[in-house]
Amino acid sequence: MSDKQVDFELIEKFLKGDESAFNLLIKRHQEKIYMLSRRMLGNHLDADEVVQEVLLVLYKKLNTFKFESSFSTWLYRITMTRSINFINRRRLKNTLSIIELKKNKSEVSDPINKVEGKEQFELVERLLNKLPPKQREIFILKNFEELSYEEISNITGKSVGALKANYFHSVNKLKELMMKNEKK
Amino acid sequence: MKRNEKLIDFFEGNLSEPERVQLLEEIGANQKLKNEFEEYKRLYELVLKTRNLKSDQLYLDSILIQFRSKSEKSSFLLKPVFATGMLIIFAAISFLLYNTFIKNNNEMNELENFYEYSSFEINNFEDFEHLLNKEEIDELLYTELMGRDNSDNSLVKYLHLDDNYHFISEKDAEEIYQELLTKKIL
Repeated sequence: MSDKQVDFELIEKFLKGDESAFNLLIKRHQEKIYMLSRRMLGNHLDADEVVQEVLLVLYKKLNTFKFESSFSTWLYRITMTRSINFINRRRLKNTLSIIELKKNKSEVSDPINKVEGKEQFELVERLLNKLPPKQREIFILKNFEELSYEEISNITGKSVGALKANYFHSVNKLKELMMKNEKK
Repeated sequence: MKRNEKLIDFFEGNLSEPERVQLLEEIGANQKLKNEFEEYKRLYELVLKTRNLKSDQLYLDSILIQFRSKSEKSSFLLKPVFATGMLIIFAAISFLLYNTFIKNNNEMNELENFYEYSSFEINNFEDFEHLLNKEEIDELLYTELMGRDNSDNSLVKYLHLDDNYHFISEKDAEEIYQELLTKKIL
């Protein structure tokens, strides 16, 4: 049975009232949700908040899933939308300077701290954080999730041409940022 | 195609074999292009190294537990909050409805009294005094009317009630009109 079919079966079970099917579905995708939001947001605490938001949306809105596209596409769409919304909210909070306490707290319980390659991961996070959210989104989906332009187009609703242009901009900008960072 | 785009396509694996060979030859012959190629290479290598990085399993295991505990808390909290909210709304609506009803009722009584008394033809003061004794009439109005009556000994005359409720006589009206003309208001 393919991954897509397994997801569909779990969703059907959950919609019939099987709560454990929801747990299994989340366990299959939780790392993807976390890493996506983590790369989009650049720190653990914000990513964790978005993960919980995504789970809540899934729990409440799974009945609207139409079984036309794959569950992953739907999941990518929800996670990316929630992450971008969170970035906008955070920007507003930063303007009001009320997020400083949270940042210190994020260093304590960061699950990436225990992982090999943490420094490189953090460098990528810092660089990605300097990109506009929409460019960040396409760079992450293309490079870390290894999706094609057509798949990204299904998720974001943008034309392949627009995505390509955005992608080239993001790569060039990241390259420049990386060079600047190395010179420091 | 721009040179930058060609370099990106090289790392994305979008170039055909002849295009790849041609680009590599160009890079070999051009130092500036070679430097640029190296910069892109470093970026793609960094991405590749962090692509398959796994998050700590302990945290991943806690995601569902956190979610379930939050939903239980929220459903527990929702009930009293919801009930209190509903109670407040119900009390507010009841208060508003009660006030509106009582106010309307009072206004209706006053209106009924007014019609009752206004339809009564007053021929002499005794008739009017009999009406004034009714409890429904506002006490202040009663005092006012009685006070005025004492001053010139004729309430009916004061209010011109003998003139079918024309409170201003023709003479008074003429005087007012002349006064307005004199002061150039009209």
